[in-house]
Amino acid sequence: MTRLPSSLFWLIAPAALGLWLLVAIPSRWHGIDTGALGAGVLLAVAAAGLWFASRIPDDGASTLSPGEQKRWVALAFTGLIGGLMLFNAGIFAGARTMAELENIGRPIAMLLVGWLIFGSVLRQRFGSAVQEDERDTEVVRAADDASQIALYLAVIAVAVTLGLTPPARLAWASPIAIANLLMFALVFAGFVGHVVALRRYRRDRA
Amino acid sequence: MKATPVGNHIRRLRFDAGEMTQGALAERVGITRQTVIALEAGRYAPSLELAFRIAQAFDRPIGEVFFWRE
Repeated sequence: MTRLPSSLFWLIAPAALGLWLLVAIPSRWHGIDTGALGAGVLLAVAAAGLWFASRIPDDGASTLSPGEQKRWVALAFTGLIGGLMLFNAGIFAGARTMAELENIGRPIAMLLVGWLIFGSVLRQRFGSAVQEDERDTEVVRAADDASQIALYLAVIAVAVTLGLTPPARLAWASPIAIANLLMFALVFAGFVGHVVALRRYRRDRA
Repeated sequence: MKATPVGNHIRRLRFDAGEMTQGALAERVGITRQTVIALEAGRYAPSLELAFRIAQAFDRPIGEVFFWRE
C-alpha cells in the first residue's frame, strides 16, 4: 500500500502557508517580498507532491490520463494566478505605473515559470507512453470552445462597463488597470477551459 | 451519462487474445489506457480510424469488434 495519502497530508500545512503568504498579508513584510516567498513555497509543495507521486509504483491502475493530469495542474496554476489577481484587484485598480505592481507581478511570474517547469517534469514522468490521443483532441476542442465563449463574454463585460459607466465613476480605469483587467479575462477564459476539459474527462470515466 | 450508440466487444476480445491488458492494447493502437477504459465502458465512441486500428489489433473485421446499439 502506498504512503501517498499521509505524505500529501503533510503537504497541506506548507501549502496553506504559501497561499497565506501569497494573498493574505501585505506584499512586503520587514523588507521580505512575501508574495514571491509564498509562490516559492507553493512551487516547493508542488514539486514535493510530484516527487511523492513519482514514488507510487506504476501498477497501471491510474484513472487519470496524462492529458487529465496536465489539466489539473493547469487548473491549479490558473486558479492561483486568477485568485492572486482578484485578491489584489484594489491595487490593480489604483495603479498608475507598472512599478506599483511589481510586488504582485513577481509572484505571478514565478507561478508562470513554475507551471512551465512543472509541466515539463510531468511530461518527462510519462516517458515514452502515449500522452495524447484522439479523445484528448476532442476534449481540447470542447475546452477551447468554452474558453473562447468565456473570453468573448469577459471582453464584452469590460467593454460594456467602460462604455456605459459615467466617466466620473471610472477614476479607477487607468490604462494599467484596464490592461490587467484584460489579462484577468484571459486567465478567466483559460480557467473555464480547464474546468470544461476536466468535466469531459470525468464524464468519460463515469 | 448514457452510453454512446456504438457498442463494442473489446473486453471479451482482450481476454480471448490471451488476456491482453488494457495497457498492451493501448500501446498497440497508440492511445492512452484511460481511453481503452472509456471505450470498454461505452463512454467514448472511437473515430473510424481508431476503430479499424483496434479491429486490426485483434485481427478481426471491424463488425466483429464494434456494433450499433438499437
